[in-house]
Formats: sequence, C-alpha cells, structure tokens
Amino acid sequence: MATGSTSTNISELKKIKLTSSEGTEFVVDKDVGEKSILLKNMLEDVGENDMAIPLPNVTGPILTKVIEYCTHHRDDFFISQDDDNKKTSDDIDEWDSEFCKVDQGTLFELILAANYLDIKPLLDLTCKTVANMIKGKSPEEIRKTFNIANDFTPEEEIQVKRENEWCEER
Amino acid sequence: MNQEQALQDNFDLKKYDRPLLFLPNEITLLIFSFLGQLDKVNAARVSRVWCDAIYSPSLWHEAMLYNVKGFKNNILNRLSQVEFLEARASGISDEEVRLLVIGPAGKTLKVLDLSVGPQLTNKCLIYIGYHCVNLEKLFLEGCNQITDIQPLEMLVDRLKTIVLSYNENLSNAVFWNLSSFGDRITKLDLDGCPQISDAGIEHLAAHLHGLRYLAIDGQGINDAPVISIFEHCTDLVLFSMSFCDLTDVFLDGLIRNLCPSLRYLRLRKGAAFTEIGFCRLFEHLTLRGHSFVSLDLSECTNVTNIALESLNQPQLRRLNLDWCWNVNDSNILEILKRSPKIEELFITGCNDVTCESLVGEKIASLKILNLFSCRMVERTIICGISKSNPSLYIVDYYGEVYKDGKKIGLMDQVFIKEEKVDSQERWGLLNVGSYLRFYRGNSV
Repeated sequence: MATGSTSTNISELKKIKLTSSEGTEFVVDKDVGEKSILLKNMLEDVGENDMAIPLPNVTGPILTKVIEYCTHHRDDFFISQDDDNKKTSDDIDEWDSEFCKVDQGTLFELILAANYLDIKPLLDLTCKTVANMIKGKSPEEIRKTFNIANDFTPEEEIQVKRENEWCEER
Repeated sequence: MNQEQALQDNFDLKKYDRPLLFLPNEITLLIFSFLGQLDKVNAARVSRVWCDAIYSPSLWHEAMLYNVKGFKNNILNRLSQVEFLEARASGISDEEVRLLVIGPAGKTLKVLDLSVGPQLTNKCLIYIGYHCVNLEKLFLEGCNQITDIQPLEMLVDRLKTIVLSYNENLSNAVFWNLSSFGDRITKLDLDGCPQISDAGIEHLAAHLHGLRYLAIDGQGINDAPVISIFEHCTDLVLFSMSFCDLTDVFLDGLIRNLCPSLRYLRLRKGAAFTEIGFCRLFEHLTLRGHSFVSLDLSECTNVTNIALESLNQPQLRRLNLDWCWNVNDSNILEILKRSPKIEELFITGCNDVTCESLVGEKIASLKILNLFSCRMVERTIICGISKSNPSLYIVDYYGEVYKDGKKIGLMDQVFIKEEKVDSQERWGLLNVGSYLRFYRGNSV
C-alpha cells in the first residue's frame, strides 16, 4: 500500500504543530489545520518547517473544540458565502447544532477564535447560534440572556417604539 | 480623579460601547445580520447601544416598509444602503418615493416593490428612472394610476423584471416603451391588465425576445399574436394567461413552436380549447419527451378524461384542473402515477370526482390534494386517503384542511412549515389552497 502512495497522499498526511495560549502543543493533520485561512497563509509563507505555530489568543479547551469542528468538516468544500445571499440562521445541521451546545462564555470564545483563525464557516455557525438566542425573544428576555441593563428612559422607550412602527406588521 | 476611578470609567465606557461585552462590534453586527426585521426591532429596544448598533444601515440591505409613519424622520437614514425594499400596500406616496430615491438609497436599490399603491402616479416613475441607476426589479402590481412607463427607459441597461399587473388603466402604449429594452427584459407580468390587446402582444413578440417569464391577462387576445410570442421568445420558462380566449389554433401553434425551456404553462379559462386539441397537445408533448413542472388548465372545461389519458408528464410537480368539471375518477390515480414527482393536485369544483380510487394508495411525492367544492368526495374517503398518506394536506368541500386524519384549519390559513420564505420572489410562503403555488420555484 505504502508503495502506491502518491505525492498528494503524502501531503495530506503531513502534520502541523500548534501551541495554545497556555503553551500546550497540539498536533493536527495539515488539511485540518488549513481550514483556518490564517494558518494556511502562515504555512504558505513559512514553507516546510517543524516549528510549532504559537496561538497566544486561543486557549487549549477552545483549540480542542476548533480542531473537533475542522476535523468533522475536513472533507467539506467551504464555499465562501456571498454577501448578497439571503442571510438566515435556520439552516444549521444537527452535528453543528450539537457542537454549539456550550455555555455562553465558551460560545463567545469560539467566535473570537474562529474570527482570529479566519475560519468563516465556524464564525458563521457560532454567530448564527447567538442570533438564534435573540430570535423570538422580547427585549426583556434578551437583556436577561446577555445580562444587559436597560438604560432607556421611559420617554426614550416610547420613542424607539415609534421609530420602528414602519417596520412592524400592521 | 484617582487612578482607580479612571480605570473604572474606562471600563464602563468600553462596556457601553459594545452591545455584547465580550465581542468586537463587527462581530456583533455579523450576529445581528442573521436577524429578521421583527427580531431587529425587538433588539433595538434592549438598550441604547443595542439600538445604535441595530440602526446601522449595513443591517438594512433588505427591508419591509409596512407603513410610512414618521417617514422623513428616521426611515431614510436607516435605508441608506438598502438593496431590496418591499413597500407593498404601505401607503407610500410619490413624494416619499422621491425622498427615498434622491438619497443614497437611489444608488443602492436593486429590487423595489411598490405594489398595491393606488396613490402612486406616473411622477414616481420619473424619480425612479432618474435615480435608481442600479434597479433590477420593479414591482408595481395594482398601481392603477401608473399609465406611462417611459421614464423607465433610462434604466434600460439594468432593469430586467417589470411587474405591472392588475392595472386597468394600462394600455398597449406600455409596449412602445418596453421595446427599447429589447432582449434585456426577462420578466414581464401584465396579468389583470384588460386594455392590452392584439396590437400590443404583436409588438411584444417583435421586440422582447429575451423574455423568460411572461404573464398576461388574455381577455380579447387572439391566437395569432400569442403564437408569434412562442415563435420569437424562445427562452420562455413560464407563460401564464389568466383569461385565455384562445382556440385549438393556438395549441397547434404551441406544438409547432414549443421551446425546450418552457416549464410552467398556465392557460386558465381556455373554454374554447377542445378535447381533441388537448389530446393532440398532450400526445405531442409525450412524443417529444417534453415535461412541464407546473401545468394549470383550470376552467378549461374540455380537459376530459379522454384527453388526460394522453397526459404523460414525468417531471410534473403541480397540476391544476380546478373547475374542469368533465374530469371524473376514471384516471386520476393513473395521472398521479405517471408523474412520480407530483406534489400538488388541484381539482376544485370537479363534481364527478369521488376520489375512491385513491383510498389505500400511497402517493409518496404528493403534498397537497385540493378537493374544495368537490361535492361527491365523502369525509370517510378523505380520512381513508389521509390514513395512507399522513403527511398529505387534503382540502375538503368546505375548504377545511385535513392532515393525518385531523382537521387543521382553513385552506387560506394553513401553510407548509418546511417551505422557506423567499422574499426576492414573493411567492415564498403560500397557503395550501392558493393558485399562486403554480409559480413556485421558477427561477426567473
């Protein structure tokens, strides 16, 4: 079998090393790591190299989650969503939805990691998950969900309501 | 101020600058971009900083204007980057259209829906023509005062869809202006415009060869001009005539000029078509392997069982035979079986139909069976069909919808949950009894 491997197979099997903010080293398959555009570009710039890439903005537990996501989607062809496309958060599949069942703090850290590592599908997924936490809720419920204080005066509250009359159903 | 106090102030400032404390604002805006309009409005009422963020024009590329309360004060700012604006039945006036399009929105608008605007006049088209340089689709359904579309000629390079339906004042003059668009116009809806006559249709056939979607009223229009549409508009995907005065001469002309792209055909009220005419049409379709996706022959009384024996449409998803009262049970099951993708069968008012043959049959693809005003269909039969097809929506004589053996509401109030709203086409979410389902999924 090994004799039959082609050069593409070899490059697929290549590993890269990442270091989380605590200094823990992670070894991942190169194709999994390259789901991150940041890492992909770095690897292209640096070329063949055995050095671990430091990720000072990402903690170990979050990096573990990110790697889990990229491994599950390693064979997906990530299409960059056109900004003209209709935006919806109703299109999350089962695995992704399970993946996002984490506490709010972890979810926000995942968003920051996806943003920093430039993994657009993960960023979209996590942002859609937060959007779904807002959808269908009253202002008061939203405040409770995200621990936000209501700083409107009663007059302002009436004004905001009035300002939005044009976009509420009759 | 001591250092600790300063730090505290700094922290507070940061805190209130961000709608979500732990996320940079560009990410919060990305999150908000996944919210629909009503959820955005709710979110604006959370706090001052949420309100500011929600009001960012970048979150209002798509917007629905339900009414024009407080128009000048706050709508215009928020819509300064709007690309898709639906202001259907909003009461928007010529002056308000002007205020909208002379601002930045004039440059960004791609789709503008001003339908059901009886107060709008030709003036608003002048403003749109001058300012909406990137407009691709314009909907003016039921804008009865609009009679002169000449200003739209200024948008000849971009504008591809024009909907002018349900306008009793619109005359053939509209085609003289439309001809300057030539091949570029792909969708034209003139349904419910009774003043359009043969001369107008001839002009259309001579100039608008790029049409992929054409809906006309049809009253008083003769065979020859309509045949010439099919001779010249060879990319037609959808053709709809809602008051079809045509004869078998047209059906034969359609056979001769059948363009392969035609997938949606609606010939409502074609009472002059004969059984033989339909037989010939259906046989030719089979012979050429041509199959429609949607076929609406409602009120074509000579669509008979004999004619339907020749109907062989493997790609058919929607068949509307409302008020074709010569149809009976003898081959309904056959028709469904010959179209394995069939999703909807409408046979409103077919008084000979009992549907007995469907009991115990499992018709996997079928989603809606509309038996409104079919007086021979008994309740036990409906329950029988429902039993073997638990996901099927069945409309009974009274317009009540059955699903899984239970009544779930009236047909104009029942929607299929899985069907997504596609605001761009406006045919997104339709109740199970609507004839407009005919248009679903056409990509024009």
